[in-house]
Amino acid sequence: MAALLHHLPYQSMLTTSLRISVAGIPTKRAAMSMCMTSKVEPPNIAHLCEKARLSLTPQEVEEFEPQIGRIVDWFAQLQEIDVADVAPSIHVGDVNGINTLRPDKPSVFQNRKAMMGAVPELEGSFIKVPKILKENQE
Amino acid sequence: MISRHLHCSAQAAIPTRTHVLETSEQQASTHQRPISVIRKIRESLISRERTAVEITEGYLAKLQEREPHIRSFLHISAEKALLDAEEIDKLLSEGGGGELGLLAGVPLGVKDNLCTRDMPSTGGSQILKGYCPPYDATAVCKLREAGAVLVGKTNMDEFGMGSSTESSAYQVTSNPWDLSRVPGGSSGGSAAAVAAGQCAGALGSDTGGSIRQPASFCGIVGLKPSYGRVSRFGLMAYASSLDVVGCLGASVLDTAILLQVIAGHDKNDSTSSLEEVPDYAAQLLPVEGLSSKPLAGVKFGLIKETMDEEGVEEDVASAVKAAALHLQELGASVTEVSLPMFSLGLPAYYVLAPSEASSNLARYDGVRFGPRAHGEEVMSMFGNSRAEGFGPEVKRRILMGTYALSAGYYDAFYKRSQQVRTLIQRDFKAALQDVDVLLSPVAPSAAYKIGEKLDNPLSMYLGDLMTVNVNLAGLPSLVVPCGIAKGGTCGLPVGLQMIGPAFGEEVLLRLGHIFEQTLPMNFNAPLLTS
Repeated sequence: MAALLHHLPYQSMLTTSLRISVAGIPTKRAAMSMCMTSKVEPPNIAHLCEKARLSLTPQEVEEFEPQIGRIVDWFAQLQEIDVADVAPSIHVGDVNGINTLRPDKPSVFQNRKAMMGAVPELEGSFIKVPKILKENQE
Repeated sequence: MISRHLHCSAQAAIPTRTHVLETSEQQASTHQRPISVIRKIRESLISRERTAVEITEGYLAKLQEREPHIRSFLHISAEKALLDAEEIDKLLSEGGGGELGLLAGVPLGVKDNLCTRDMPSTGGSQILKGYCPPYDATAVCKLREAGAVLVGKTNMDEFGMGSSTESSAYQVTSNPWDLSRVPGGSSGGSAAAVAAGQCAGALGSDTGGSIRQPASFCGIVGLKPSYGRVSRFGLMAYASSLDVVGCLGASVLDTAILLQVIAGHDKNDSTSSLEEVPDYAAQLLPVEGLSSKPLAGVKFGLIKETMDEEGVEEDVASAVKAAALHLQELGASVTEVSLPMFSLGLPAYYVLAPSEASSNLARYDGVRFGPRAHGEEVMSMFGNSRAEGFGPEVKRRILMGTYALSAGYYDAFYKRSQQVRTLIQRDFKAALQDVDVLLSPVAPSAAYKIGEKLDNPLSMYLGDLMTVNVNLAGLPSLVVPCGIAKGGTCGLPVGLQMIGPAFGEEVLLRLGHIFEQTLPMNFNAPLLTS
């Protein structure tokens, strides 16, 4: 059921994506992207919000769904090229920067008072948060 | 043709400006070479022509006068700035002129995503409203050590996510060339402040073009250093493998001096490089002493994929072509170079940057800093604090990143984008073996109208086509004003992007300086001439 529900707006979104005429992206590519996206599940915003700890309103979910869907659809052009033997880029730029790790020695932060001053709720020297038990029981 | 109509009501609101507008043609006939504002301040301090307090007062007066129109600052630190200036004057009066730091008495702005211990640092987000960090970012620390006077924190798109500064949670900044237009982003506050003469220079950060595009939109110089050239310690992380701290100034020499101060290894950032910091400014000689062909032997490559007539506006393409001709007149060779993977950089960037952001922004949960929203238990407190604290663009990117990193999609999106990133790095490496420096426009258009792209995030993303690849490859890039496009009351500036090999800032600055000093055009925002 849930899959069907979010599938409908996504379909209408795919058709609108063909009409985007924005400089820099040839229409041929947009058309190809559309075909490719059918391979991946469209984003389920409500589910993503749970994962990302974002309590969005139903209006926000409704607004974001087509926007993010259109962007994900546009990502599909990445599937067009062959990257079979290409290593993912893990490090950037500087090859001389290998030995920049410092010794793993603890040190005392000098401005502890200001750091703790930024905490929204304190109890003594502890940071206070609402109860956590409910989630732990899941 | 340049439009000369005064039709913008926002601009007309500024008194005394109508009689001082200059057209770009008039500017060309009265060409003055861009000067280093920072060096001029230093000279007037050393010659005792002006005191540091007088200089700071002058800038603060301009800042306050123009701020209602531009809105480039989120926080103004007038009192502390004057105290810092007094310290410089004290040092000078005690005969300590020899100990003057490179930036002694220079009033600067700092982008609000760089931590400052005496000023609030919000990153343009409600989720850090009122937050005063307990420490200074390393780049800020280095400015202070060099004697800089920090006048305030500049506006930005929330956490750097945006290309127009309209995503700031606090205010919309205007472009000093046309107040109805955006200054670019995300370092739009820094760029607008420098262009409006509100400060002598500014720090920014660049994850996908956030220094370069606003520099181009505001007609100033912007420098995005190589990844690892400047410490990121104290920079609010957006996408850590792409983020760099850089500088914005009125001339190439100004950005060279700023980079000189902030560059170098930092034990607090393991990705900061051990590579030696050269004397950048020493290379930038007065053009009077140069030969008629100062760029003889220098090879430039114009990136073919950025000049596609479908993707770039005519005025921008003409300005860049004219700049290429100017470089040829100076003795350089300019050839067309192809980077086949270029267009895939944009979707790869918009997978990688939000993926990293979704992880980096997990720290904003209402526990350790910023306002906390109500929640019966901790998970709803997290969710509510984040929902209330983040703006729509940040939420979209967190959700996109969460999606791209989800089990089952990781290979299709994140890993594939990292592979594309490798191909882009290879393209740049190959191209930079044939030529010394690559050239391209900075953005497909000049500054656009406020609100024009706000409802269509994808169209905003497409404007980043020419800049994101440079971040994916970790290369340095310098933006120098090169032409005027139609729009506004006396045209809108267009920048030229010069991309060099990793840690090739010295070459970019030297070539950019010669270009800027010999180009017979002025780039003064209309507001400045009032």
